[in-house]
Amino acid sequence: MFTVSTVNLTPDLRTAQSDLGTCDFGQLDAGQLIILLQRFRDIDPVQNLEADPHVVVGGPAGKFNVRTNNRKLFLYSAYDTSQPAVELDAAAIADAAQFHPRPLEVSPSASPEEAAPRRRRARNGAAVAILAAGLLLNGYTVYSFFYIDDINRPPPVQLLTRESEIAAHRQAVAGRYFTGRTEGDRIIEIDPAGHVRFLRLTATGERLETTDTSRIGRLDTKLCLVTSDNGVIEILNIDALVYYRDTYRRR
Amino acid sequence: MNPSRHSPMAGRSLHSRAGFSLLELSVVVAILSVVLAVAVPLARRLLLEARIAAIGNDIRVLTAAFQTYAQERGDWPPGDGTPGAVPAAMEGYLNSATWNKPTPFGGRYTWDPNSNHQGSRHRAVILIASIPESPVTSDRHQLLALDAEFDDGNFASGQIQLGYRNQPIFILEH
Repeated sequence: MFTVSTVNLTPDLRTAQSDLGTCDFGQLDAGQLIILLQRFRDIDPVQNLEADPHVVVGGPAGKFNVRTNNRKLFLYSAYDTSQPAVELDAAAIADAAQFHPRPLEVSPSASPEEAAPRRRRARNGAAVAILAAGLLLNGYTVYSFFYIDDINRPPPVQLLTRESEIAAHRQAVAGRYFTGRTEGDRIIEIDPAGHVRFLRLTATGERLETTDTSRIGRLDTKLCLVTSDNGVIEILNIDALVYYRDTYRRR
Repeated sequence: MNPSRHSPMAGRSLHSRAGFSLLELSVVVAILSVVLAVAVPLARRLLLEARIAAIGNDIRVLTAAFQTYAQERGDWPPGDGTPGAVPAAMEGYLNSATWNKPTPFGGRYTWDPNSNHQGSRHRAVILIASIPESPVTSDRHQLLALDAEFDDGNFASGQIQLGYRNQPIFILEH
């Protein structure tokens, strides 16, 4: 059995007014309490907002205030108003007042006061995570759009730095190198300053294709010339170069 | 302690409804990202397919012109490998507009007979040669796709190979 009273409610629980004060219902059993709470749940929201009506329920587990909002019931401790409210249905409230020694020690997330900021934080966290994932995906899309697997990517060449060594190799490699002596063959001409000329043998003589500058380096253990725009010329030996798998011999 | 103070009506002011929430914005960005992630590679693939089709069509037309010349004259026309230059002997055989336009992969079509390419000498080759204002693509993916579409998908064999300076060549006669 429960001791039930209402505050700021008419006895039929249809109307709430701030000046109605307390109305004592005496002893009610669980069924009657449930019916009363279900009726209370349907109260006009405007009146609910203005009058703060509530039902006071006393049972073996303690004394509780029941308030409503948005057709939901919230159970508060009548003794400790700092305790968070718990959203329960009418039957659960009857159970809590009957059996539960500490009905309000539930997850604080159930408190309407605390749930809102927590939900907001969780929502913001999810939003930031989704935004970050979207931006990462965009980044990958842009990267993959502009990514090129370049067949002319320069190999890892170690450039020489010692002036005396560079000068000696430049002097040694300077000269004219040919793939052959017939029309269509190619020529690489290197001067001691590192300038490189690419020529081609034609029916009428030699035709200059491009000029470039070069630096001397090592590719693995072999010496090579690294041109600015035309790739790497490997120095096979004092008399032979390899350029894009064509062998050029000194003449 | 009145729960009605936390009702949706009381909690949402007009101010809070003035724009998009961060969550709504994030979801929109995420959806757009997914759409882009699907659309961009698809667009890139379609673009590549269109380029390959165009270059394939050009090569068919140009090859036919050079082969016609060779059948009528008994040899390939002379040429010196100058990028974009219409071989003098091919006047009347070649459509100079097709020959002189930039190829879909950049560069210019170049008649390059009796030339060395990556250790091999070929009698008749159409080279796609880079010029300063229009370099040929060096994207392995694109070049392999071209080779796979019209040849064996291998740069080192078949009719389409990588030639001088890794520029693509179409070999008419080895």
